[in-house]
Amino acid sequence: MIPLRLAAFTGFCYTAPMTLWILPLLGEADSWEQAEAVLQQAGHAMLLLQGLAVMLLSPLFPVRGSPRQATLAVVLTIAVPWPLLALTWLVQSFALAPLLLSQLALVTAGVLFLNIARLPLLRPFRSTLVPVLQILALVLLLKLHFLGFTDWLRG
Amino acid sequence: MNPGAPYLSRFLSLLAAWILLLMPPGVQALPGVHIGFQPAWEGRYLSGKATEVEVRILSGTGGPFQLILHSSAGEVFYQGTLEANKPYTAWLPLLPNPDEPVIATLFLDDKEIARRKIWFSPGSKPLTVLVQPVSRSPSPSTVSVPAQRLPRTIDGYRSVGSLTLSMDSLVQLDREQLEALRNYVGDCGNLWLAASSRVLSNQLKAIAGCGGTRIKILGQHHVAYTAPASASLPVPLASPTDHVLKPLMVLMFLYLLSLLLVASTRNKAGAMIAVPLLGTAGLLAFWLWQGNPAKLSIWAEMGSGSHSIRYRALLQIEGLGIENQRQVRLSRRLGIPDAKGNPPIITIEAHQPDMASLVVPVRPFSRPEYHFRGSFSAPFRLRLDLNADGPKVVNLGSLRTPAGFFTWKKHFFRVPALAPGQDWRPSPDTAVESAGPWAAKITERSGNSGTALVLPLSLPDTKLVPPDSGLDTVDGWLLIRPSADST
Repeated sequence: MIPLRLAAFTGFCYTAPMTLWILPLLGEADSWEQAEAVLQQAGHAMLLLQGLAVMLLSPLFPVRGSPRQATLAVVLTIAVPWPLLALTWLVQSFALAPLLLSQLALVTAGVLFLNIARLPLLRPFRSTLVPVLQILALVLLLKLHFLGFTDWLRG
Repeated sequence: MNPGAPYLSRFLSLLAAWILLLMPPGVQALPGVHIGFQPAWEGRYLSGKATEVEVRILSGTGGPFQLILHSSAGEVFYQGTLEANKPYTAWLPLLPNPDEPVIATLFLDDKEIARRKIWFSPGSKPLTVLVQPVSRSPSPSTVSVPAQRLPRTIDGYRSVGSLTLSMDSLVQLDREQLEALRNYVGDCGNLWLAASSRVLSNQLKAIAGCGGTRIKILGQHHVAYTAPASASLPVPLASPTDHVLKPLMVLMFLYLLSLLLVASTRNKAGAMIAVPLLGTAGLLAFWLWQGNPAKLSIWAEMGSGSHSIRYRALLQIEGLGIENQRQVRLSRRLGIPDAKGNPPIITIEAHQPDMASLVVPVRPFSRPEYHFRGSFSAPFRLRLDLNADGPKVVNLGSLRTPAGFFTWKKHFFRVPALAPGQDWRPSPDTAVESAGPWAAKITERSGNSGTALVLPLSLPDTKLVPPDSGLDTVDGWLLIRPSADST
């Protein structure tokens, strides 16, 4: 499977359940405060899922495709839930500038991981390196999440 | 707890109000500007309800002015033009908060020239109003006022439980006072007439709601009043709240489906990246296109042959667009609404005294609701007879009535438009399965006889909504009962 297809399906796998979870809750909300709270929770969860997807997949992309395809695959993994994130901005759960910065940070981190895995120097150790990178990224992401790094997204 | 405490606090707040009224107006205003406020019913009102204040302004300089009556329960903006050294009087509705005074700020030529506090005395019981010269032993909820102090807006009557006045007082009332009183009795307000003739009381009963049972002559023996089925009116049906969600769900479903299709069938990077970008752009475009739709639903009822219609109206704004407020223009006959969510902000312009603008702060997914109540004159006269041959509807007025529904013995019939003088009887060929979304409410409200005529209300009929209201949809229904049910 080409990296882009893998990225699209991964994005679908975490965006579709989130959509099915959020929209009925929004239907029950009869005030802006309730809708804002729902979308804020959803936005936090979505950022965590985006981070997990990109950290787990990006070291694998170089193995499966060209550098250009791998970079676009990172972008696509992150881009699939953008309509839902646009909704969090419209309802003012998140401010626009921090939201854009978070997406940029995720793309940068994904491309960085991708290129570390591609380094010729580390090629002989790839079978060990990829799981180590994935575990390190996962720990870093969870650490940032529990430190409340998404709180600044509210602006 | 000291039982005299409520009376003491009421006395003190009244004293404070009088001191403020009697203070030289120049204390807080610019020299040459005099401003005074006279709240209806000596400042007493039913907690949570709107009331009225008489505003008097005298200024040495003329020009456009704006008066803002602010409380945390709602705001009223009044705009007019002052003439130099000519007294200006206006009667304005307002919604006080029980815990604070209303702040009145006067701007002349956009400069703040006076700021005052208006104190009110909230109560938990409806007021018993005696219009002088009628008198009775005073009680905490009794207010005695001269006829010229009776309200000129329908909001002035929101706190009144019963009103007693004489024939002499009635003839002293001006047009605005009579209109406000008509709305009060039209909405089943209790009215006691002192030394009144039967002719007068019958005339008043004809324009009153609840079949005129709330109008009585003082001194005559009356059977204890029991509220008929029509005494309380239901709130109109709220619009379904999922109509925001359905397009959003369809949009997201189409987006995810197209992502799957493109990912499964195309290998081109551009096509795959374009899908989320187009999906995001589509959602933003949908939001921009939506706006904040405003819907007014009216449910009205009247007795057969009555001249007055009682109504309840519900204004709903759906927070869907990016605009953070929505403005609608309504007749002042609707009065200040009871709000769910946002305190009402009302703008009244002196050159259009019958109109008011309601400004509604809106945020995405918020659903502010405003409830109105009152009465208006019946645009057409229909008589609904129940006799041995079955029911009969007769158009006694001079206007053609709209087509509607008739319910009888748990069946619905389609009633055609009736020309003046025309009558109609239900027959098997006019029977229909249902009367649409209102069927359950029609059955519930058709009274003991289970017989009622239901007609759609159009905007010109109600005179509650101007053509340039800015409302997206208006949905109104009028239910007419046989006379026996109304009384």
